[in-house]
Amino acid sequence: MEKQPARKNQRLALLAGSPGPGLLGIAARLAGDGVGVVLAHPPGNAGGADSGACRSIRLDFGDRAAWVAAMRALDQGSARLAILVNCLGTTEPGTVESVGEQAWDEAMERNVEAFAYSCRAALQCFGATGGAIVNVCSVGGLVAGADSFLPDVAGGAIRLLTKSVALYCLDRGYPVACNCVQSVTHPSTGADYPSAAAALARGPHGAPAAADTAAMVSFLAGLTGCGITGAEFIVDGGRTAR
Amino acid sequence: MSAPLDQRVALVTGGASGFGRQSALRLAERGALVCVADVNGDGGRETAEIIGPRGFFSPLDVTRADEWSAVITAVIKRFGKLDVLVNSAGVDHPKDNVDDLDAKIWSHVFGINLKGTFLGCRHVIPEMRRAGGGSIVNLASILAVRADGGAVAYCASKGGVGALTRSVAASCAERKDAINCNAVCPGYMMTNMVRSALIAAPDPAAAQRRLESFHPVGRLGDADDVARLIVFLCSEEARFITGAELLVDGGFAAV
Repeated sequence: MEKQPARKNQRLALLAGSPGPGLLGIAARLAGDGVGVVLAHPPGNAGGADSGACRSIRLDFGDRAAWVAAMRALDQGSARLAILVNCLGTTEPGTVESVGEQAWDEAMERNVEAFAYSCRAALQCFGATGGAIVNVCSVGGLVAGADSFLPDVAGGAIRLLTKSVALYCLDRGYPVACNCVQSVTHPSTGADYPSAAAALARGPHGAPAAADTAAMVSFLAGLTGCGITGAEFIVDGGRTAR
Repeated sequence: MSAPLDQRVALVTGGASGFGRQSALRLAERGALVCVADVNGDGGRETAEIIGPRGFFSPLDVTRADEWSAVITAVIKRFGKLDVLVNSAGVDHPKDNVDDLDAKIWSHVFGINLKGTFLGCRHVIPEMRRAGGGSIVNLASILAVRADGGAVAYCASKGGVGALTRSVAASCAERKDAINCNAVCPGYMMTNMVRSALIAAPDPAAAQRRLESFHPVGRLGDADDVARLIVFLCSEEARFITGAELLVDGGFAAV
């Protein structure tokens, strides 16, 4: 009898960012959904030990080839890489005048260019069965703070990057849902973005918790088609409704 | 028509062609003194020659901080102050989809469109503060609002320009700097950038009809549609407008 290839039953998620409490909260939520979770964090980052159901790998986010290699290495055995969650943002405070050129270059490479490379790698690795991409960034891309220049600019860029990738997938028939979550708390550290605390004091329902972001990521990671794609989901306690 | 801009001093990047050239000409027509800046020396000098004695050309690669310092020094030396910055330098790339994306394409598009805008704002704000205020107009795009699957770096860079504009406006407002910062989002206009893309298409006429179909008015705009709005945003009449993304798109985003 001819041997059949093993069927890949379990969905795997690659969750990229610094391994702070916010990221671990998202990981725990996805694991609770029955998803295998692999945390990817940059080489110089502290922590990152395997925890519970989550494995951990080191990944140079600025290396286009490294993203593909990491995802291909994961997509083996009975598990199938089907989810990419990007939590690569920055919380560095500052204004257009106080942010230096080097800080700008580093932030844009780490926070925007790396999103593009990870999306590219995911499209190559998801295959015909498709998957879900969830890009998490600051709500500052929609509503600016006076002291949050880099997260604001990165958020604005990631919003449109997400939409462009979603449309590219639709045009080519890739069954990939690509969406963006905009949060007032950093997806990795769970800390507020600069200026968010003051704005939240005015918010109709107070500050959202990191668990609110994790719940939204969980919902978007579960999408299997393209009915919801290229969209923005805001977790901000009503801040942008004002 | 907008109020006169007599004796206001403007720096226009990308002034050799397209929105930049037309904005420089309109600003000068309304009374401003204009520095035309561009990496394209021939085109930039030509724009300055059309303006006449109220304008001059200065070379500028917007991705280089040292060249920003040099051009601002030249403006202050020539006109004594700086009131207006129009960040119009911009590029696209024909192979700008997520599958084809590489570091060279990303760096080229992002560097000019977004980093160039950042460096410009960063360098002019202290001079505008010294002058008692000013106006910054950043060229974003309809693709800062509506995406295109074949333009991932371009969309991201222009989305960044919109957010950068809001952030600069917020920080200037908090400091009571009297510096307005706004973004203009043109639909598809018949500029050299769009003309080149149409020529490169397999069927240029069909490609143009497709672009026109995006705009409810049924045609592409031209550089003067954008330049007139820029002149307004640089005038006293627009003093309460800041942190805004203003569409000049023939109804593109309305439907």
